[in-house]
Amino acid sequence: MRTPAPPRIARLLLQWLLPPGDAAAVVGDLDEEYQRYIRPQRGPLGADVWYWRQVLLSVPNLVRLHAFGPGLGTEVRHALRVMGRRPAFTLAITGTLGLVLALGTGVFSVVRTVLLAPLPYTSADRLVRPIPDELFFVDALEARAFAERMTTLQSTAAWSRELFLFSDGDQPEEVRGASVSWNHFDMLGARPLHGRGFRDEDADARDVVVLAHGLWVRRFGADPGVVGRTVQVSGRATTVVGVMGADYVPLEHDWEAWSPMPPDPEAMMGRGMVVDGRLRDGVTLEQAQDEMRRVLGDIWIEGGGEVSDLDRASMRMIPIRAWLLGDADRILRVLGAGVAFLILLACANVANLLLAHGRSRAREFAVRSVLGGSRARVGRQIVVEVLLLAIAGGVLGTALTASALPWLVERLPPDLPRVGQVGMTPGVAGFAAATVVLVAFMTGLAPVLSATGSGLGRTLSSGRGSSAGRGHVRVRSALVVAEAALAVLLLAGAGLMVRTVASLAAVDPGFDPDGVVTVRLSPPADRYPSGPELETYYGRITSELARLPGVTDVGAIQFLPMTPGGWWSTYRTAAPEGVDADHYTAMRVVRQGYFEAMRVRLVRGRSLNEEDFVPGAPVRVLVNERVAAEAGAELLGRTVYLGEDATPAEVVGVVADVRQSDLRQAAHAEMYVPFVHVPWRRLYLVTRVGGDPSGVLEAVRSAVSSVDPSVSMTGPTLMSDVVAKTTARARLVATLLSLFGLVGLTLGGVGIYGVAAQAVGERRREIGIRLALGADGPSVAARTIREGLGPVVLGLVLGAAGSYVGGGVLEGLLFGVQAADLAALGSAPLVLLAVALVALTSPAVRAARLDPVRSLREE
Amino acid sequence: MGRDGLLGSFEELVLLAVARAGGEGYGMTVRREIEARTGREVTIGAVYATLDRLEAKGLLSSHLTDGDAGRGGRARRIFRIERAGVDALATARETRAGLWEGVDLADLGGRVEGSR
Repeated sequence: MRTPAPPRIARLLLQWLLPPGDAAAVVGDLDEEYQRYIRPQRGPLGADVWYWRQVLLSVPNLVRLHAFGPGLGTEVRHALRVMGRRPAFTLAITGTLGLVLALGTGVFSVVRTVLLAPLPYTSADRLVRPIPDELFFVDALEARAFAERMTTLQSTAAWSRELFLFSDGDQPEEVRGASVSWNHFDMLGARPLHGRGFRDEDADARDVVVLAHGLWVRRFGADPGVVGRTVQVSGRATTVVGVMGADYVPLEHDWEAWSPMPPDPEAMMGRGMVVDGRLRDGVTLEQAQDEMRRVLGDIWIEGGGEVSDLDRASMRMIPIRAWLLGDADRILRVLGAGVAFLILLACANVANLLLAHGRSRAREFAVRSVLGGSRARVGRQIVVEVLLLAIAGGVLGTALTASALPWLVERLPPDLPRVGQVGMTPGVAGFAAATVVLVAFMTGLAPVLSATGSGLGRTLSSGRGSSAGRGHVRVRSALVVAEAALAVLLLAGAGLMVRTVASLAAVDPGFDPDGVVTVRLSPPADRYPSGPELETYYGRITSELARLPGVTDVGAIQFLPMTPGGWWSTYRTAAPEGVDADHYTAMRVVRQGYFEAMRVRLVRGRSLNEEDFVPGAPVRVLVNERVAAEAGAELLGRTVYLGEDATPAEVVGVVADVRQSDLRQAAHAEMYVPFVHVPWRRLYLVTRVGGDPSGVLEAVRSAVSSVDPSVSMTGPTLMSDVVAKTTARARLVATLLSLFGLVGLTLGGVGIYGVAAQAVGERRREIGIRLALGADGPSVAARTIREGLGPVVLGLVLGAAGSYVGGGVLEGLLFGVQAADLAALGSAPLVLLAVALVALTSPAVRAARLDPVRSLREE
Repeated sequence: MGRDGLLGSFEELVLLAVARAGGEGYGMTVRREIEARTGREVTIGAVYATLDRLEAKGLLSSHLTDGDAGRGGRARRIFRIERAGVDALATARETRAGLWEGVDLADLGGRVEGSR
């Protein structure tokens, strides 16, 4: 009967940790107790757990013993000597580990800050948001219904986006924020850093404001005394009552100020609102969603409408966390997986290098064994070397991370929550340290087993002579398979994302952003109360800008493409008493020159001209192709009736569709109205420049502020940057996956080369015999390549299969390309194959040119 | 043993465990003895490191014996208490006894042996 054996790996670990002379006695003690007492008492599982506990809890004592004992110092010194003797080897391993650890730590620091750190709300997972339809805003009636009728929600709070103008001091500043129900912060369970949130009575007076940390630092010099001070906000004397902390996450990423909403929802009529709620204890998201569909359906029916099944299905209740993170979750998971693959690949690579290194040191180890060094001692020596290499890699990686993090953060989508807080924290350093240990273990396992000749190692070092180390080569080939498969996965992911970015770049947005400079202006209501003043102001700015050298066209619009904001209206294609149904369109207020400056193509009819923009002119509008198609009748030359009061407007032309929200989404229905009829206060000016527009940014700024320096200005910005921002996520993922793929490809190539080169080196004699027996050089070279390609092809197949199956994780990030895209998935293995062939060329040539006489004489 | 020549409390336990086993023991017996008497989990690493230190101080000596099948044929390292070790234990007991003199835990409101 076999005696039950304690866990092997635990015992191996204990052996490594002990000074060589004493290992047997201590391991014997533990084994004896395990077999004689513990196992009969606790059973196999309990006994193994006990053994592991004994070993793991012994680690600190044994390590301390070493630190003062003679063993470790000698081993470290020896390891350093070995590393110093082979600087290229040391550098290759340290560099590889440093690079992938830096990438891993960088990605982890983002994942940790954005995804893993808890949101600064009480029980954030209980917070939900009812979404009535794809527009996601609710009106005042619906907001009230949520508050009064939803029994599944313990409390609700509404908000509506708001722009605040902070006008104290020299520089007025426009700040995005929200009007919120007075219980907004209470419902979220968020506490201000200084001062307080809102109270019931604030909602009536509405002369208080809470500041975000960034605004507080920027505008008030981080002075805690600002709480209680009265400042001018949007032309009203307003008291600062609170300041949120730096780690607070607003519900929308760019909010920097909050003011209370009037208590009566009717006062918010006509404004888009969002309601957030907290689930009552024991209530599930699904239950709340069911109730929401019921309540909302009732409201619509009470209002005289109808509710279809489709309407009900589009009413959703979603967790606030999901809303805040958007697709960040998916992006970071993809990047996390990518970097994990890369780390694994690097481990395989380093293990491969170490195995090769171990082979060439077989003589050294043999000599040490003869001189009394035990197998365990040799194993420990390797562990010390691997640990030192991993630590060196970790130090290099940490240094690289510290300098690469700002680069990464700059490329992250700015609307990710807490992106600004990403950095080297103790948690990140801990992750880096844990990764170093894990990497050391993974890379060191094979070489240690190989060198100590126990278990697997026996197979590794079995056989000598011409077929030297077949098993050893087999392990190294398995590592090459893994490397090839992982490299293909990374390359395939990169390929899909690169194609996505290319598809996005090929989208025709309906305008030409190149050469356009845009700036957003908010003339204050006290000095520019109505249309004529605004017309004078914008007219003067337009002529100032037109005078700048190189400027060809100047125009303006109230909602620039690729920026948030919208104003919607209904229209009818016949007189109000007509029978046709309402149509729905986005309304764009434009100033003359907009279409020329943005190069929006005119499809039919005529563009708007000077006469259409003079006061008293009849309302003439342009529609986009989508409106023309949806109207169901030829609109050109017809009069349409806008909104509730059915303002008549003549359609004089049709222009091309412009992608408004981002490049991925098709154009909305859009109608363009001259500024003179709807004198919108806040406009984006667009200025087209011949030549490089970045040279005129400063000139645009000073031209604008020369008219009225007190008007708050956002920008100027290049229109091409505005467009680029909308593809930032796709480009970020594409860039990083390409980087991972490139590093993976290089490491894979090095691994393939290493194994083949060593195989040739170890089989010189065999090759020499074959050459002597008449084999010609090319056939020997072909054989080397064939044998080298074997594991690569296996890896390619595995990787290609993996990328086909796993491509789905990229779904949602892709655009214009399928997850199972043949071009992207097929080219990844081909690229690796090409690299493998290049890597195998030099060993093959060396084998072919071998001098048979010399190689035979060497042995 | 601290700088003042006094035994550390774990050292004292280990040394006593060897003494209880008739002045001779090895890692397993010492570990089991301490665990049984104190009711706390003790690791082989801690025991071994302490035995090693006590040997370095000259309080214990050790020699290797042949192993047996129950331990995979691995050698046993038997520790034997030395004269200096016995002295150290005696000193420890005297020191404690001196300190205990005149201390009545009942007066201090403590738990007294035998009382419930």
